[in-house]
Amino acid sequence: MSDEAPGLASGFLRVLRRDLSIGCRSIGQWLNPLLFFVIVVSLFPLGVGPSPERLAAIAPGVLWVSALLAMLLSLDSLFEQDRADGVLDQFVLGRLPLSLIVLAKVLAHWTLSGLPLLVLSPLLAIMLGLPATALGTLVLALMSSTLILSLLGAIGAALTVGLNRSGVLLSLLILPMTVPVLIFGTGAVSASAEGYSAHAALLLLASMLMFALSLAPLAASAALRAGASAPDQS
Amino acid sequence: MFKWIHRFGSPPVVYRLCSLFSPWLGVAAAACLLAGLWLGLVVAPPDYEQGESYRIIYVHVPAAWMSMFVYVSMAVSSAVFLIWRLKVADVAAAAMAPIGAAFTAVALLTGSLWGKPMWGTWWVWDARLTSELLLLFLYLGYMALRGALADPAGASTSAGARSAAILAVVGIVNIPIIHYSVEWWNTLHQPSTITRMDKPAMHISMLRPLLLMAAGAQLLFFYNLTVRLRSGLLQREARARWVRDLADKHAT
Amino acid sequence: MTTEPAVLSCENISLWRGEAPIIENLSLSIGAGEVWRLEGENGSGKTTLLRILAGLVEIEEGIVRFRGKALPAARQALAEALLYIGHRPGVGGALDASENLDVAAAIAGDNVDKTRQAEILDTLGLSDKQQVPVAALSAGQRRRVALARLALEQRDVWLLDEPLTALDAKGLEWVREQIARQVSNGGTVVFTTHQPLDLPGLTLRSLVLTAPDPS
Repeated sequence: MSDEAPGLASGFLRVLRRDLSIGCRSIGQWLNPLLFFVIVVSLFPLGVGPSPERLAAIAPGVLWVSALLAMLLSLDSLFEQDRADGVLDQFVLGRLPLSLIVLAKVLAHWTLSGLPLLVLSPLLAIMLGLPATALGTLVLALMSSTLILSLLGAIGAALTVGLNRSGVLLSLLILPMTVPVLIFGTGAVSASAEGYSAHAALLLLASMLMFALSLAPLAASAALRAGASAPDQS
Repeated sequence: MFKWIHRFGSPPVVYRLCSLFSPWLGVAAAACLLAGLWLGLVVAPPDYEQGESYRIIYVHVPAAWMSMFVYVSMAVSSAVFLIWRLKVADVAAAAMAPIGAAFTAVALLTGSLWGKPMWGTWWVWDARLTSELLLLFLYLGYMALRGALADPAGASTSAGARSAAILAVVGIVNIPIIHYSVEWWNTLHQPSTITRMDKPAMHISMLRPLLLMAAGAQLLFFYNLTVRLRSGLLQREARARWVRDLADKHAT
Repeated sequence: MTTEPAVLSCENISLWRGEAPIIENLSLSIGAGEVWRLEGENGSGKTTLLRILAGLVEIEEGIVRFRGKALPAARQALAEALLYIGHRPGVGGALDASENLDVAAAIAGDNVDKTRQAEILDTLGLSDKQQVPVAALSAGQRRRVALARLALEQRDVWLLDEPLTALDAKGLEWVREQIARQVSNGGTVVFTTHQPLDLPGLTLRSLVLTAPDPS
């Protein structure tokens, strides 16, 4: 108590580093969503036929829906291990603001499960016949979209932490809220593929990202506090 | 303000108010709905373009309005619960969700029925119908979360109530974004002139039943709310003295 | 004459789980420099009471106060003074002991003091286990990693849920020393345990919880 308390930034970075190092130590955490993404995307040509025009037309939608599902796959474990270890209680009780911890965990989650999708998406887009001119837009739009997804997903994960089979419930809660991301993300890529400007959609996505960035950690931390109040099941 | 809210938000007071108003609301709702249906289905003339099938708006439009209104009420109620920890507000939000979901389902169903003669198909990804569908998902998610967080006996826990309230508030923040995204998406993909259900200029003989039906739907909502609120309060407050007194009074 | 308000107090608190009461009409006042032991069989609400005192669980009736101020408004003040080690001790299995303590310090809002940390881990017999993921340690060793925080973080109020589980005689002795040190500094300790623990020279107050009759 006597010495100067450390700044918020150093606490934030330490939590971020902790989650990243835990994630890196288990390969499945970042590799499984990526594989899922690749496999789901590859199923579409088999389902709708290999016609290049048709594939190019549905490419943005396919990429977005697959990325969305791939990210949801890893979201239900966002707070689960921490709860099982009792670390979640420490998060709730510590002096470091809970919303800041949530933000650090979201960024770590995105780095591990969103960023790999982002890196691989141009390759899959080319396989689906998306014009190369749209690839820049694709990466930009997918980056904001996956970040928003991580943020929204954190709210869902916080609301369902500690529940059995929380993954399905989490999807039920979060998927309807991802519609704007789906619409504007695919809208940006389609516009760009057809030679129009994707500016408007990209800016809208960016503003949604700012909005989610400022409010989602607060909502998720409120949900975690509520969850901590549940009678202990153990 | 705080004291006032707590006095009028105390469960026995709300229970008594609900018991008092409930029958009147029921009667008024029935009267409005019957009159509205009579005027709408029998008295109002057929539409110049759509013939008789337009009459479904007398059910569809009020249901669609209510689906939104109920969600807003639920979110406001949830916010009141989160801010002032008013138990009644949570019981009210819990009571509203199935009512709102029912209105939403009716709006979807009638919208799709109307689509058959108008568009020649049961379902069109029209902006309004799509928004209603997403709203239904939000209601179902809310109810699923409440169900998952309830205790083994099915009653809500205080932790579950807070989580559900947070979800409702997050939902209401998202609804406008979802709604306008869907509108934008719709204009992008379907620039054709689909006949909208609400017409800017409506003849008074067609408008009157619509307003009556809207009032009736509103009253029906409040009637349902009072009924569900009463049972919800009894369940939630089962341990409280006023409930036991009430039970004793009924037993004798 | 003004009296110092109790560090933690409960006034007629009740909590139900559905129809079943977990805690009913409990009042309690815990002062500075006191050691409290919560006793009772499984399911009597010891853990829940500790979580209520920590501000994790919200009660349905009654008031919990920290230094006279009611929770949850006093949450921030309590966070400044509280060290809570739960039944699940709050160490992540994928990280090693010192990483865990670094993160615990960051969450608690404290500075990381590496030399002090190494010292404590050494006294706890964990010096050669510093690079081993905690999941690979024994239950007693894991518990000791969590308990190292007793010596690392300076807090007025300790709430410890089963701190002695899986500890050997040496570990027990260490915890005893820590409690004595905390009390001599004017701090407060509330803990639960199934094991006998004598604290020479200290007054041990106990609260026996019984599961309320669900009638």
